[in-house]
Amino acid sequence: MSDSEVVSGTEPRNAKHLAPEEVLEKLDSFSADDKIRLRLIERRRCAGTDFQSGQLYSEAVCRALIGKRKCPIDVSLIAFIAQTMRSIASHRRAKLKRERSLTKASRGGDATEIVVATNQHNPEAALIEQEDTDIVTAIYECLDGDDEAQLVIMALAEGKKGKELRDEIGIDQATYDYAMRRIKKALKKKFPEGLPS
Amino acid sequence: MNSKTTGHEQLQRIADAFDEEILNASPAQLREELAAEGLDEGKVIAEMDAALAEAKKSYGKLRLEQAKAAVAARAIAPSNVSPIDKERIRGKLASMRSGAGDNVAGMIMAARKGKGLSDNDEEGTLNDLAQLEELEKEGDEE
Repeated sequence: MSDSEVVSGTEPRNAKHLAPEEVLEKLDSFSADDKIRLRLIERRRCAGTDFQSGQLYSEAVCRALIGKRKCPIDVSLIAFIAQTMRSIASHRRAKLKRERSLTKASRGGDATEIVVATNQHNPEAALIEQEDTDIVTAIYECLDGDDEAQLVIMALAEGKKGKELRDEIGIDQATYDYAMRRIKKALKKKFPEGLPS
Repeated sequence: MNSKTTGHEQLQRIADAFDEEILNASPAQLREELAAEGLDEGKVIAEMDAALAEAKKSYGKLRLEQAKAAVAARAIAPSNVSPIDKERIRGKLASMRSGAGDNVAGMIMAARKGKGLSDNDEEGTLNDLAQLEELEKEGDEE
């Protein structure tokens, strides 16, 4: 956490967001299941960053406490911390990519119709876009031969979820759950450290 | 597929869907995920508690630093007496000094065991006199 951060606890209470003491109270009441959820999410979000176990979670909690990231009162704190970890990890990953100045070999073929950002005025963004596009391609490749799983990934990539997703693909909940298990298993094999996203 | 969707957006959505799966998972599914990751439940909970303790420590340290900075800022806060008022009151103080033995400078010098009036003493006296004048004005207005 940066020393220059300003603790919002000294500011007037904002009724739309949790106050630091409310965040603390909720954090202290997290159940074992809540901690497991956040640990599993943290583990996956750490992929491609230099965060060690517990660091990303700790950083997200700090930001919620100091008010740099404010949790709306109508949002679950667990979901908020998960979202904050996602944001922190994403920025760290981008920063590391910039520092490393990676150059990736161009991939062959593009079966997913992904539009690659080619804005030469922002080569860093173009680099990140290229890497993310490569990862999406790798996801499809590791599910090669499992059309159902690929369709699920495609629907998720389009932002679909729940009933809308199942209706589009024409599967029920049990079939979806089974497809997700296959997807997770394949991704675990392909990306043992987690999906770098 | 939406042709305007970038690879970055697609990857984010896929990853978000996996997060959502975990957030909505049943206790049994969570244990299954833990086992698949080769993680021990007791160790995970201990690590998360330690990470939370670390975050609380950082937060407490930051609040303490900010409280110290606020106190320091108040100590060096500039006077709210205008330069023009100060000059007028400085004249008043000078005339008080040249007056009888019970003047302000005399009292402060006595407190300083005969030593002269320091710049800080004078500045503080000027501020006190300015505040006294303000109070007198308020009294007149009532």
